[in-house]
Amino acid sequence: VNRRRSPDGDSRSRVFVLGLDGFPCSYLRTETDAGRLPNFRALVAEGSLVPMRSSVPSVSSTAWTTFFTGHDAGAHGVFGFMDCRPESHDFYFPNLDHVRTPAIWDVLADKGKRSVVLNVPGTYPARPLRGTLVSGFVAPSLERAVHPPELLARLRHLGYRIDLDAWSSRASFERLEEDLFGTFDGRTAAIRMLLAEEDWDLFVGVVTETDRLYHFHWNDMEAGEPRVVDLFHRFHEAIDRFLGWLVEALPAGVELVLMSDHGFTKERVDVSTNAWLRERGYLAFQEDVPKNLSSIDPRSTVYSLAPGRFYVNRAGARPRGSVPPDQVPAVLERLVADLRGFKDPETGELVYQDLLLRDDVYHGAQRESGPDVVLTLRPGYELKASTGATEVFGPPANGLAGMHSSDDALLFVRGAALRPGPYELHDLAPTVASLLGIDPAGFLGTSLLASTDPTVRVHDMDDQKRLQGAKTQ
Amino acid sequence: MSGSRSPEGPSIVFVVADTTRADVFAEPGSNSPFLDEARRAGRVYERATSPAPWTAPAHASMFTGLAPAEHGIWRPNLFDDAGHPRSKLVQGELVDRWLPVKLKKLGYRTLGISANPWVAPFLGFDAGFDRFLSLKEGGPMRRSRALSARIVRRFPDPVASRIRRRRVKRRLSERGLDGGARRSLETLFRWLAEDRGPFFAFVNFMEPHWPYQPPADFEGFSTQERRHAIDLIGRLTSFSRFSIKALLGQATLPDRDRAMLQRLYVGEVRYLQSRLTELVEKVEAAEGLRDTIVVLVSDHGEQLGEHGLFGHGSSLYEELLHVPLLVFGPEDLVGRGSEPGRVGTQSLYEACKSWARCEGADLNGGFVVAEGDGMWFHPIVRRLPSAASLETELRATSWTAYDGDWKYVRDETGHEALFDLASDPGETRVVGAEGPWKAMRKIMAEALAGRRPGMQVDRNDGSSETNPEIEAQLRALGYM
Repeated sequence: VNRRRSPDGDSRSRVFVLGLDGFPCSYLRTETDAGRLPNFRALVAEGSLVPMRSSVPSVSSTAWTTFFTGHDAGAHGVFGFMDCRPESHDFYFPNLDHVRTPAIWDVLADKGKRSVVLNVPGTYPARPLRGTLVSGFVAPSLERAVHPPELLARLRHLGYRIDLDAWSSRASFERLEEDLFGTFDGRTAAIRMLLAEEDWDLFVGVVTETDRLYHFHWNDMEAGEPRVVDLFHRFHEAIDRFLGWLVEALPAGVELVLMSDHGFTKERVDVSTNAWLRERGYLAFQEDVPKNLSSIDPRSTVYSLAPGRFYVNRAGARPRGSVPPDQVPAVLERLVADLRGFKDPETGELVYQDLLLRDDVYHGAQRESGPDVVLTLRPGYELKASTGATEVFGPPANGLAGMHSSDDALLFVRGAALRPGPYELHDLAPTVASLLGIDPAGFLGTSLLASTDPTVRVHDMDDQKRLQGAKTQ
Repeated sequence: MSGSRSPEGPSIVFVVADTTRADVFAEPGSNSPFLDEARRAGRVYERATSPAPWTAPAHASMFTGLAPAEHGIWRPNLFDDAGHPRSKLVQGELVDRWLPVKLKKLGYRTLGISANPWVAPFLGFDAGFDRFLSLKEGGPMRRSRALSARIVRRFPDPVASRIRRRRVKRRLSERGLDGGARRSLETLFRWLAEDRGPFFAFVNFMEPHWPYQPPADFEGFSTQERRHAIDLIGRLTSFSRFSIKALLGQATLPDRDRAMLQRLYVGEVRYLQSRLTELVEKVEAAEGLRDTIVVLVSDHGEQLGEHGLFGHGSSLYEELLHVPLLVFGPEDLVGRGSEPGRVGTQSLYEACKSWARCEGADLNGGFVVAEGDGMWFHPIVRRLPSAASLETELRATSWTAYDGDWKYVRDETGHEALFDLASDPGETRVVGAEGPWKAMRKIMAEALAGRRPGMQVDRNDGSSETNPEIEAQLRALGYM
């Protein structure tokens, strides 16, 4: 082992986390094995690259909130991009104001540490912190996405965009290509600027363009469509070049973490869980083509939200609730039994990976507002919950050909030995705390580091390989 | 509903003469019969200042008594990141404050007529009005892109001028008598005649707003001047780039053209004045309207080449902020004579509420802050190549604070200026270090610190309701 110190004798530890939204661990391995992405390849040789499990559900808002709080949705309260309001079936979009557990940068601030947080999804609206924050998706306007506000004009000057224009990029390949690189350039320019100017202990910079590219073209890439394969290569090379720059630019002694919030995989079928519930008589609406759950028929017993979140329509909870408390277990029992037979009629395969009950998967005070049953994604089957859908199975929506995968998120810590798995997204916040010499207690997750002494590092990477080998035996 | 309760207070006619400069309205150097009459039958505020240099925030300030950043009906909130206009910004807490809503609760009948496309239902300006007539509904973004306007650039000048002249003449013949003033007045009096009882009537007149039109039948114009006017209007309106450059202070206009532009503008203000005279006389003469209060005010002025600028919205110079403000009505309520001190037009909000309770109101003089919200809101500005490099400056919010004749201006990017309006009313010389910089900076800092926060943008964060933009983004990625 060796003890890392920066050459100038500054023993202060610092951590840089580069997030790559949706980047699958397996894809990185495929690409580096094929001899591409030289900077990734070189970096990966200096530490441990492992697949990590995403949040439940593995949707970006939940996943990133899990990442930056170190807790699951049962504690932080963000179960998806949308949720029903506590008192009705009307939708709302949870944002940072709804997050019930402290963010890692707030925990660090209590210890006097500064953070720069750029483009982490789920951090809108920006609020004061000890450091700098630029919110990520979904942020309707840049004005409220920046702290301190003085930074706003400078970001605009850099041509910084929160996101690419998803509708046009989905419709036009040329537009996607242009937006992809344009948005990425603004993003990296902002990272370069903040890296040079800000004083930080933790720097989290996230690239979300990857997720957009995958959502629109993962299937085409797997199918080998030449222009798509070419775009994938060119875009990942651009990330690789940036990574090369970053590794050079980071001061000595800065810990470097690469991570993604979930993986990606090929999508074959769109599955509508609400259409399935309607077919089985769990759910009805008072409109022919319901736009949302607000027009739910008050006799409905179960409804669902994407992806794979099922809720018993409890009486008393909402005006249109129907199931009295004593009947909830019976409804749940029937629902679970029916879900056990939720199969693709063409292949006979279950349309999901795991069926999880609320109390088995969620911990924390917000658990009650979570789904009673959650289905995790099985590759190929995208779980949707459109209320207007009448068919349970359908082809992927136009222009959307790619879906998240739950257990192939990317995790890499430079130069660190990792403890045996499983590796969970909620383990990252305590890991960051550990790397910064702060007690990682108080999170749901636990530090991923093999040693509790953050200054202890693996000298010989073979040690690491042996360690990982030991865990799989 | 409280509509059945009859209020005690007087009726109020609240007139906004859009885009009217105080100095042009007051006819400098000549006797202004209009103002003389106003001093006799009401009160004239000689130094009224608008808290914003353009329509939407200025109107919203008069309807809420709040500064632009406080009510949030201003540039940062009007467009989303993609440049699309947002709608219905007047909602929630703002509705509760909204002047017509307040007066309606007191039992007033509320009528609104607007010729300005911003002051329209699409932003929610019609809140609290029993009836609201929008002469230019459809939002401000709808521009006529006539084929002839687009092809006219491709022709060499003699041909292009001929086409332009024909278009201008056709438009002038189509527009009728004016830009809507007659129609608004007719509607107003028809409505007022329908019923007795106190009312609050808001009317926005757009005549002085660009494009300036020559008077009917070119009264007072020689044949040559008439030709010049038509040619100038054609040149400036068929090249929207003129208006962009004019906003940026990059427009160059020969003296002859600039003089013609000023003449046309002054003509529009004079014309509107004659209509307003008619309005005041009619109110005074009408049976049952005797104790009615008539407020005449403008939302902002107009730049006519001063500082290289034309139009409005783009600066905080006095050409834009100094506006006419006259109040006719019973002496015990509105007072008489002239008020030389500075008043902000947003103080009309509290004044109207006082009048409605039959309490006298002299608008508060003293200290005023105005703020500019940058001009990036203007989507067409994006099309100008040089605008990209100016983006930071163009987007910057700016503020001005007054203390007597001292005027201090600062913007987000740190530029600041101090003018002495007594010796330099044209704001041409920034005062040196001997000026009260420190005191003015302190005044501004205190004023900005004392404002209420939070009203501005909370309407779009999706926390309290579904937000169409968030929804669109989520749908694009298949999450909804």
